[in-house]
Amino acid sequence: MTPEEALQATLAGEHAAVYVYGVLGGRVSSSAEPGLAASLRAAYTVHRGRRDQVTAILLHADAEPVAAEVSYELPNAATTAADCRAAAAEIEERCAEVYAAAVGSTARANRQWAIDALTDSAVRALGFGAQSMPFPGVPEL
Amino acid sequence: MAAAGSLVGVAACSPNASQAPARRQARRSQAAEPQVDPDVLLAATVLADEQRLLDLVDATLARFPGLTDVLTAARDAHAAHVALLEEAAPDEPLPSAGPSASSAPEPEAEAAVPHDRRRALMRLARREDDLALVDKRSAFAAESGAFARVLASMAASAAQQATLVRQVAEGAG
Repeated sequence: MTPEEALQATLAGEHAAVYVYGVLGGRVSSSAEPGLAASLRAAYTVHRGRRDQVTAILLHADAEPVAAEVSYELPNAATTAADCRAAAAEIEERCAEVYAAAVGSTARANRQWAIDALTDSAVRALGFGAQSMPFPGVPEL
Repeated sequence: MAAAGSLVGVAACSPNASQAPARRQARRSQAAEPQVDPDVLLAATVLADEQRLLDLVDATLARFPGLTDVLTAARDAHAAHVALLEEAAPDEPLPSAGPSASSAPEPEAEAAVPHDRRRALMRLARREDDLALVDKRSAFAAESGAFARVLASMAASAAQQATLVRQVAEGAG
């Protein structure tokens, strides 16, 4: 995978994450589930920021950033708070895989960006109920 | 589990045939010595840090057997890291390999786990943070992309354990 391909895959993952968090945020009541609602808002903000960062990196490299899909399939029905937590955890784990791939395909500043994003997603997933694992983002290990 | 040797692209004893004459002259005294792959050195250094953290988890468990449920995940994670790195690192210690400066060896301190449960857990959480930083720096420095990916994952794992251990410590207030 070339650095550009890895960054494009990362951007595609961020587009999906931003979409899913946007939907999840609309399905969780801030009054009934204030903690979860706040966590979803924070995650949405983080991934939106990362989307913009990766877009800028690609533009700086004279690459055409991959566009977002019109919609994305949710990881589950997301009809309950538990569903929304599980969906958020799955999104973080998917992002962790994309970031890990980017670590392996980039260098210097872009690699550092991916290293930090991987750690953030692995820890953020715990907040949504994910189990810790020995090798986050590297499913074959 | 994938062979760790392939992760670091082990070429631990590959002679470098492309030395420029001046550099060749400067390195005459080293001419007979094999060059060590920088990623192998990195693996040896991270292995020392991961093993030290694993030892601390074991020491903490020995003092507080009731923490088994809490620390089993941390133990399993670091044991997996050590096992993988042992495949990548050479059997014999390398002169320049050793614990990183950010987690200097304190074997006596490691053995002396605080008697207070909360303090012991907070200490462990801080060491997990330290190890995550070591792993991150190593991932940044790795020449092999595949090895960098695994090291970054180890950093994320240590950060996860730091978070979980700290949560328990704070709950134990």
